[in-house]
Amino acid sequence: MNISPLSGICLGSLGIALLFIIFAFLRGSPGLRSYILTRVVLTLPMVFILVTVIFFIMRVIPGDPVTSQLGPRGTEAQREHMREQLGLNDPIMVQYVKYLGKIVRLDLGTALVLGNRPIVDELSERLPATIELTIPAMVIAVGFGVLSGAYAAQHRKKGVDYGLRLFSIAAYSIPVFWLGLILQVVFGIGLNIAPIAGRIDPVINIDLNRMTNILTLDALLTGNWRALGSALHHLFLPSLALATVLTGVFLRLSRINVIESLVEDYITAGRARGIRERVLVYRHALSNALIPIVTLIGLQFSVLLAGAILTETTFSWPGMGLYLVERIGQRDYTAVQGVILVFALSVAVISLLTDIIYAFIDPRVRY
Amino acid sequence: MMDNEKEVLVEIRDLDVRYKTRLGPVSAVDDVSFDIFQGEILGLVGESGCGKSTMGKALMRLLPPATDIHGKVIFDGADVLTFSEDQLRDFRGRRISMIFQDPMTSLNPVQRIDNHLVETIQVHEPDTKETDALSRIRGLVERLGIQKERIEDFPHQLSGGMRQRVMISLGLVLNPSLIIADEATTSLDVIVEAKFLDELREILDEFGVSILVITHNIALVAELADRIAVMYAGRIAELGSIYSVFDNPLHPYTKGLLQSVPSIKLDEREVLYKMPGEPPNLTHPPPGCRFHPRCPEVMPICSNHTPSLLHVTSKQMVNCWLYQDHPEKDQPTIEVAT
Amino acid sequence: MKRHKLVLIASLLVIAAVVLAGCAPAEEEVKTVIIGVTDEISSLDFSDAYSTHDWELMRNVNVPLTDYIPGSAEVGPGIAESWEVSADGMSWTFHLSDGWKYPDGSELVAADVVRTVERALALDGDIHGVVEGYIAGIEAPDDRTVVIDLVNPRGDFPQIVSMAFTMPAQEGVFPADELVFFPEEGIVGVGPWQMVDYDPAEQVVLERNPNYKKGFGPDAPDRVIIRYFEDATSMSLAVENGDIDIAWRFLGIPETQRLAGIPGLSVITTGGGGIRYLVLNENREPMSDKNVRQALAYLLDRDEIVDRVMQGTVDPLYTMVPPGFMAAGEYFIDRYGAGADVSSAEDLLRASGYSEDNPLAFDLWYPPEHYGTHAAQIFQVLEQQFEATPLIQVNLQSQEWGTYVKACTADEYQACYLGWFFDYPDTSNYLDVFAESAMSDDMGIFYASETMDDLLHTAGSESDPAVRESLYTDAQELYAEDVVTIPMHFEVEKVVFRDETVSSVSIGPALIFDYELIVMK
Repeated sequence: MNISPLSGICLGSLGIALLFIIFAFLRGSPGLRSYILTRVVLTLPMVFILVTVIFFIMRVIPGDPVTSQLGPRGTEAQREHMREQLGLNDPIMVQYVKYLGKIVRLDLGTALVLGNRPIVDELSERLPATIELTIPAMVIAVGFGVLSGAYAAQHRKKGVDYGLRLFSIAAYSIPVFWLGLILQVVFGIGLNIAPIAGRIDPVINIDLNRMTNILTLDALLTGNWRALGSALHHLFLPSLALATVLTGVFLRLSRINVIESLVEDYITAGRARGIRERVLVYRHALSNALIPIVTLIGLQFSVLLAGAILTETTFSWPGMGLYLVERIGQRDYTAVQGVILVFALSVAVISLLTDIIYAFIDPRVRY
Repeated sequence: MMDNEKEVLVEIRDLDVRYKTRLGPVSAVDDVSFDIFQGEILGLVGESGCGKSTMGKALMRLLPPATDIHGKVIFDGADVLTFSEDQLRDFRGRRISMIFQDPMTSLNPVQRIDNHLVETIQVHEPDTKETDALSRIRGLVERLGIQKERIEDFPHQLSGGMRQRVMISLGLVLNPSLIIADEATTSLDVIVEAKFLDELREILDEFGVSILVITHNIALVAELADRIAVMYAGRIAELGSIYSVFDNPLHPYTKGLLQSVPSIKLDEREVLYKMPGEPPNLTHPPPGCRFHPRCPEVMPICSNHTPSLLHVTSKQMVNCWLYQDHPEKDQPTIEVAT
Repeated sequence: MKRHKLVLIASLLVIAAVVLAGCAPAEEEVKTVIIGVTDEISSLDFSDAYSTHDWELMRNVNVPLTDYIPGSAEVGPGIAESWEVSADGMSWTFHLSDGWKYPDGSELVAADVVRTVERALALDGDIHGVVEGYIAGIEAPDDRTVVIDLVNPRGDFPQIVSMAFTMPAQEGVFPADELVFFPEEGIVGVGPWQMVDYDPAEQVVLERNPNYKKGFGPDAPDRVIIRYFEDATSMSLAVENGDIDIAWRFLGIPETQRLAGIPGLSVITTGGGGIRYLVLNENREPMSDKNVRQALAYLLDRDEIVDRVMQGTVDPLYTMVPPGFMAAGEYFIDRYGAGADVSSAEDLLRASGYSEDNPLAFDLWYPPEHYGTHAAQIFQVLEQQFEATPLIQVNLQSQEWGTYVKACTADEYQACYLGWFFDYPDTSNYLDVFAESAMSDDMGIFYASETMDDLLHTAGSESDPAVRESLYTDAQELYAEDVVTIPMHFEVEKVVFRDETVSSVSIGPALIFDYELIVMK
């Protein structure tokens, strides 16, 4: 069987997810096991519903793939030919069954524009770029958000607390493309310390041997330090922009949860044992506050992807989001359907994972 | 049992604690002075909201930062109320420790039991390696009847009694001189409670530690304590050895309190005493003796002047005008025979 | 405590590394120029491509039979040094010049050209319809000669073969029976550049063809990188910041205006660009009435739109043929004057029976975004101009592009707004498409005039430039008289480069950017 890079990434990440689930299953209590089992079984109909909804939405939205591809000059015969080719002449249920069959085989169809390449191939070129952007953004957002939230909780009702809360509201409400533009102007033009767009310096790019297409990883694997520097340098502004937008939510949640944890008896008990205030805040209160935050990471994943679409557009970052925007503009229905499908499935898998992680890390959770 | 020669461990003098609330300051502890002796169990009883918990926390300065605390808490010759943060951290846990009411919520739910213990040791002795700390706690844990294999469990995996043992082990792990047990048995059922009490006794004997038992359960104090302090509305009403106070309660509040305790021998004709009125609102405590609005033996002076906690016998102190002279007082002062 | 310090130091190191990586000068001995575009690659197959950006890349890698004379819209020798047409005008013979070599050193042969053209004829690529419309057959009698048989005589055939479908392809690069939109190894030809690396989403890397016949100037770049941007805003910031050396198509009006004020950047107006025009659907009331079309032509004030909305960044257009092409002129000024002429318009409308009580009412459609967000403002001004007379009632309508472009060219609107950019650089390509009766229907105009068809057909098959010029002049006068469409303005393209690295660029009216003519500092 010929495995395309996207299937490779999908299967790879599904494999990692599966390994984790199996690990949790084996390590967990009987209660956790039955919970994992139920949760996994429940995900299947959810995925099925998602796939179905996407299929029907793509068919009710206005616009016609044939016209958008052939343009006004297409003859009726050409139109008919294309409709036949795309299977648009079949009854909708037949189309639906064929579509399901293709998805099972990881066949997302071929693009309607730009060389009619298989969507799976196109996505597998774009997905690594999105992964490279979103993971650091998420890490920065969670790391900074959670720590500064705890800091604000520790200094509750002081100036720094008000400042951080104001920042979190601002960060949450700033549109990411606007923030991106501001960052471009400030860091790219004003200070001139960061590149405006793209993933890597074009000249350095020539010598970079791409394997995973996650450039930082490729640079590390090949020991190409200049490329690593350049890739990180290019990652700086987009990941900062995307992270800032997500930070606000984590900051607020972390602050509230730490404040709530700080009045718990075990904090007073810890204090009575002479544990330092800082340790109480950052180890005891925060470790308890982290549990709902893990859930939030899952919930914010969809926000992350939505933000990635705008961030990628602002920074000409050739990932899934930019691909989606381009193909919407070109009315490439199969491509749009493919991207939405990948996004929806990854949200489903991530939410499954976070639920299981939640159950796994919180010893008290009732299944 | 009682020995007057015992050394004083903690001297509490003129302690005032005032909480700041939106409704105004709450005088939770008002002008309280007493001693805790080495090796004794002192029971501090009173109704909910009488200030007994505040008192316990004040000894460790665990009250919210905005609270006003005045007076002196002399522990081993040093005034706790003047401690710096660093001194305070060192003091807490190592010299005084506290066992809380609810062992479920008083243990960090995401921290393993052994980690609680090791952390407590390392906080005070940062150079102790984890393995050394673990070997140190092993004996203690076994002594307290916690199975070795449970020590890596999370708190929620243990039973209530087991958690309370963990709390005790946390209180004892650094060999403090005083343990404050704040409603430590309230959450336990009676049988577990009885066992717990036995153990507490034994521990006291073994470790030679003083215990301040804060509770609303007067029966518990009768069973456990050497001395009893009865608190009412932020003040100590009566303080004395268990025997003298239970045999001969002097303060009208103590009398009422003892009469309101049900006994297992209760028959139909015996009716439980119900104390009239409600405890006062401590934002606006009544003038004079704070008990006077509810006191069956109230005198005119009671609402004008505040009595003091004075010895009436060598083993008993009472805070009541019945036993004290005052120029404005017209009734005779009652003399108590030793 | 120690751990905190370590974390702090580690993060500082990472930040420092990132910043330093950006500041460290690239040890660069190859003179590289980076050109930003917001375009995208659609196809790199010579026998398929029919888009400006694809052609730009191809023209830099390869050379068609005939080619533009740099800096002009004139066509001169390409790989063919000379050509002649048979007496009946049905067969053209092109003689290839010597010395054209591919990067691997092999010589160009005539069969390489035949290969591409035959694929374009046989395969259903984007250019297929165009090629099929002109060419009946092609052969190579010897290595230096290409003979092309036509469907109909074309006087402008040397211009037509300047399109990319006559570029030579070495044997084995493209399969005969299949289009390859994105060849694995990129594309090579006999032009100045070879494609050494490309990723359609990110960049194309071109390096010199060491065997390029015409050689390179002393300050020509050694390497050219085309970088793809999503929008004009980030591209304009990138040229300002120095990430790229040249910002090329498409810089928007606000971006060029902003960049023009920044020292260190040169903003150059190129000679060429697209035209914008109003489609008046002559298949529908009321546009089927010539009086109505002429009245609208009288009422339109192009200068007001250009000045008020576009702030002078575009030029008004008074015929469909932009300046620089044969027979270009200001035919609509000659016929209707430069500004608005309300009274002449009212006379025509009254003659057609319209009055204050019975005004001419029609829907005027525009796309809200495709031509820039200022389209809405253009149409507000246009509505005011048309409604300067109480005899006209305009109903402005807009529709998103996909639906719009279909409706506009498919007889669904009364009047709408479109743009056009030439396929090959000849006047015929600006007139036939709109006014030739068969083609006009495809464009949603439905103009049909035998006189016009005669003029256009004759001019098309004529090879004497002087005769063609006079025929096209007549055709444009008739075009203005009949108001086939209303030409509105001509959007000139701008290019911005950094003075620090680039001295000059050469972009002519045909919008051909020859990368080898970039002069570096």
